[in-house]
Amino acid sequence: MSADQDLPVTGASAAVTGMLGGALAALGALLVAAAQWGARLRNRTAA
Amino acid sequence: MTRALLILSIAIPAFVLVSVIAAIAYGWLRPDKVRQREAAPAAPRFEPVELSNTAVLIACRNGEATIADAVAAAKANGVEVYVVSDASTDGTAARATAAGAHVLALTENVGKPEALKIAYQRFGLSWLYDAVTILDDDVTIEPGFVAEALALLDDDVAIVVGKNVTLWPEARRWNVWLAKRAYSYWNYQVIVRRLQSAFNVMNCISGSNSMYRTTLLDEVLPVAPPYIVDDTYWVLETHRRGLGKVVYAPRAVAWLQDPTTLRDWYKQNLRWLWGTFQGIIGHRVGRQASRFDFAYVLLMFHWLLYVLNGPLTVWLVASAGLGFGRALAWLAAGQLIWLSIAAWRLRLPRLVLFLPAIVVLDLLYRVIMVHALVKAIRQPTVERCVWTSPPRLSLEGR
Repeated sequence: MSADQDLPVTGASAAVTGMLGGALAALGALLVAAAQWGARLRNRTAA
Repeated sequence: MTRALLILSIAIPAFVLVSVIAAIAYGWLRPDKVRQREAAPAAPRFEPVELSNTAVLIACRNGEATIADAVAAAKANGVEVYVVSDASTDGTAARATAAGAHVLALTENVGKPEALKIAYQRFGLSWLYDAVTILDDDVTIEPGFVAEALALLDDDVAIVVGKNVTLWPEARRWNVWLAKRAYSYWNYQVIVRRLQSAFNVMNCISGSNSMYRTTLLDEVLPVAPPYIVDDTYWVLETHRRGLGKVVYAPRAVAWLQDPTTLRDWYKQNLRWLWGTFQGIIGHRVGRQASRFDFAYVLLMFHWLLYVLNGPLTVWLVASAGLGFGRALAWLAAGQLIWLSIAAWRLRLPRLVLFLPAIVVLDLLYRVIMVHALVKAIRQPTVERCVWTSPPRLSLEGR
């Protein structure tokens, strides 16, 4: 057994973490999609 | 205030826009560095596993009070059970044998991870089986545990983690430590563990009741864990080396024995968290650009807020002239909502009555976190992964 299993996720700290995590994940997904689009554009131009 | 909002409403979209432009430019300039969706490397693919190709392995030291029930419960799953007695000085080996297990009795106390390794090799489990469920000697699994875990052992999954339920006998119905643990397990598993499982970012598994592919055990068992919690090492290695997915099986239920005194509760949590922080330091969590690292850093951010917000709430409410009692009541109100849901879901109405104790223990848990962090900084690795478990309760009269 290990780690933080005795740590309930209940209050404001969890809400803040969830919101921050969601926002960062969304930004990350957006940037990855943008980079992929840039790479595809380059490959298409090169072809 | 209005001015700050105005600045933020311009700065944030501007930051996002600049970042997107920079990302497009990066993709244009370094197309070879950008991983296309269809080119993503697949996780290892494994063969399907039948029930007859699985077994249960239990490491035990002086567990005569519980080992027979643990073996019987495991055998009720229709699988072979193997027990390694780690130089027990009581009747562990005899009881396990009588309960129908294959038993290996070691004469030297080597600790749980080493005992598991020796048993795994001596019994030839890698050759005989495709998956092995490792249990603690005081854990009783339900008859469908192995089948439910197998159902989630997909072709890219290496570890299936069972569901922890605190064994809370009538004789100890007012034990606050069992109440706290019963509530915490429920809360943790219903939120953190399910989310982590969905995204394959589980940072801790239940070493007391999880199923592993033998291909994974072949990799991790031969290495002596450098942390005080063996399964922490195993799960971090699984992620770092891409050995397969780690998923949670909420229908694979295991009944666990948990600490019943303040001393045991503190000691066990300290060891768990010490191991956790050792893993973070040793495996350099947060230093790689991966989904696992992102999720773990987010979790650590949550821990930081958690440690700070308890005392901060008490201080803020108390300093606002409302008094210390009101501050604790404020914290209790939030916990009451969750505790009520837990009482309903666990069918344990008395859990609500433990509210004051749980609020206080929740504050004390922050102390353990800080203590464990300091301990991990001072001792980031251990030479031998050996510990003393809390006293076990006999399962008779449960």
